[in-house]
Amino acid sequence: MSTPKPAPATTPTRHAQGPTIARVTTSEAVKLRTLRSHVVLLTTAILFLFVLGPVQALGQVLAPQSAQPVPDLGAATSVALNGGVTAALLLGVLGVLSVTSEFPTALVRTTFWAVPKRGLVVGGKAMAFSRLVLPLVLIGAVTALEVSRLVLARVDAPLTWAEPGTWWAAVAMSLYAVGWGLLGQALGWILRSAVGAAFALLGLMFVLPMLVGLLPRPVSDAVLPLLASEAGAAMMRVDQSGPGLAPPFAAIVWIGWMAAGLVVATVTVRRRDA
Amino acid sequence: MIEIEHLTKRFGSTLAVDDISFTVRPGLVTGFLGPNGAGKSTTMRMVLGLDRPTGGTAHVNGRSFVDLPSPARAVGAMLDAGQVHPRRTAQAHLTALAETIGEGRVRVQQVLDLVGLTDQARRRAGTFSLGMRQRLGIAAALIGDPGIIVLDEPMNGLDPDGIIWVRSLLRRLADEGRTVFVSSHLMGEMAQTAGHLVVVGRGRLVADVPTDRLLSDHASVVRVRGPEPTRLARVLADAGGTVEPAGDSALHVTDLDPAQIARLTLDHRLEVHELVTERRSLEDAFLELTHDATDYRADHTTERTVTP
Repeated sequence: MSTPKPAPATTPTRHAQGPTIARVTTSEAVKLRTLRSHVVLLTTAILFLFVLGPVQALGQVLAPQSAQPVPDLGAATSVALNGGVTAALLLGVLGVLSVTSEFPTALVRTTFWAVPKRGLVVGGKAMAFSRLVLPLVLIGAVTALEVSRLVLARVDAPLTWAEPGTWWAAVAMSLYAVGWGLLGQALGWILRSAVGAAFALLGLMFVLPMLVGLLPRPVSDAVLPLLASEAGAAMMRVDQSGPGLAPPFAAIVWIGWMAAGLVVATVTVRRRDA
Repeated sequence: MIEIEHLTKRFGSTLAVDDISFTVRPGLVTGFLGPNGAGKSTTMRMVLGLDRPTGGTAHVNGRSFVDLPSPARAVGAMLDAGQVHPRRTAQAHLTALAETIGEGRVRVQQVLDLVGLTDQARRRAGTFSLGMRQRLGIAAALIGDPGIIVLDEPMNGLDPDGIIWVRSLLRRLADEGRTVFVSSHLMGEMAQTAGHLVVVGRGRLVADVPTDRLLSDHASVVRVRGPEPTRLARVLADAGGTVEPAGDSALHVTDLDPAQIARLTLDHRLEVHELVTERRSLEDAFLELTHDATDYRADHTTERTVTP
């Protein structure tokens, strides 16, 4: 068998040709879109987002007597973005898998060989995920709102793009869905197991608020709004009234959870043997 | 150049790598030999900054791998041919790696051509044979055209064609002036590939010598048999020989040639019934080298079982 001479790498200057956050992000984007299971999960999530809302809106129109009324903008956007929570769940799983799929085959060692500064890998994966998913969710949310608006016009529901609340609903929905993915990534790095991280994510979002609710009233009242699940829900509210944090503050708390998760993930990954 | 100094790694109560020091030089293939579990992979992982040493240092081109400005362009590595996602194509795997150092399709095509996987580039890695996965691993290692190449068991599971191919590739890389550091648990394989051998057993450095010297030093053994093996062994050992019992009151002697042994037995009026030179295989030499290290472990285990 012949042994061709290894050709030199194509770039002539070899200085400062190392991994940067931009390069690692591109690399991770390649990984994200070259696994069919990831593509299927992402597609399913987006489909849920822009199909479920309009379907429920249609229900409002076809059988108004059996449906909940949509008296205000908040009710209308929550009908339109009805698929959002399912989409967020699926994107959370995608986040988990985008990290944990590297562990069973120890692919992560090849990754850390190419990019020994592991913080860059954690950051690059988060950037690649956000860059790919955020626009898609935003498009999905806007589409769901627009289709629902057209449908709900029949029952004179107050859904209109003239209200800034409608835009906020789309943006908050996108932040919410991407946030699930990033929390999934953080838990994936920390736990290294797909099943473990997925359950931890569900625990964080669904079980933890119930447990905190069992605490004595003053404590639970103070802590509850700061939980990821509650902040995420409060962030998506269109009206400023109602329980919990005001949406802008809730958004800050929500993003804080993402940041904290990724920081803990980076610290954990850097300390551990790969 | 890879410089390893007093490198130590402890996993819980096991000492996987025990105060190892050696240097891997450019321009030749250095074989890293040892039985399974001798600490070869752990050492390589520490060189690549994947595992943190308990003590000592592993430097590449004068600094630790993690601090190199462009690590994958300095050191190419294949630690395990399985380190590819089975559902990803060879092309996608290599593209993701190439992107981390700002390379693209052109470089991916070059390394695919180099390892002969061009026609399989769009197949999922999970459908590859072990030999093809080794080729993919080598392609990944060479993506940054590195001056140093670290490969863990690259010939594992290869057919004879594949072994010859890897061997000639490694030699060619070394001839180009690169540093090539390759581990194996098969002495015979390494003896034909490497110009220099670093041998470890149970985490300890056993030998660090040019291959031809290791082979000549351990090429033969003298078998001596007589009615007084204990006295015979003492006399030979006092004269500088390395003596091991070989069963049936016979001894295996190294470090003394047959003429010296005959002279000693005559001087000490020892009766000898048998005195022959036995050729030894490379595997025997390897076993002998790692023997003490292995024994150490066996004793250790026994001790533990006896005293609960």
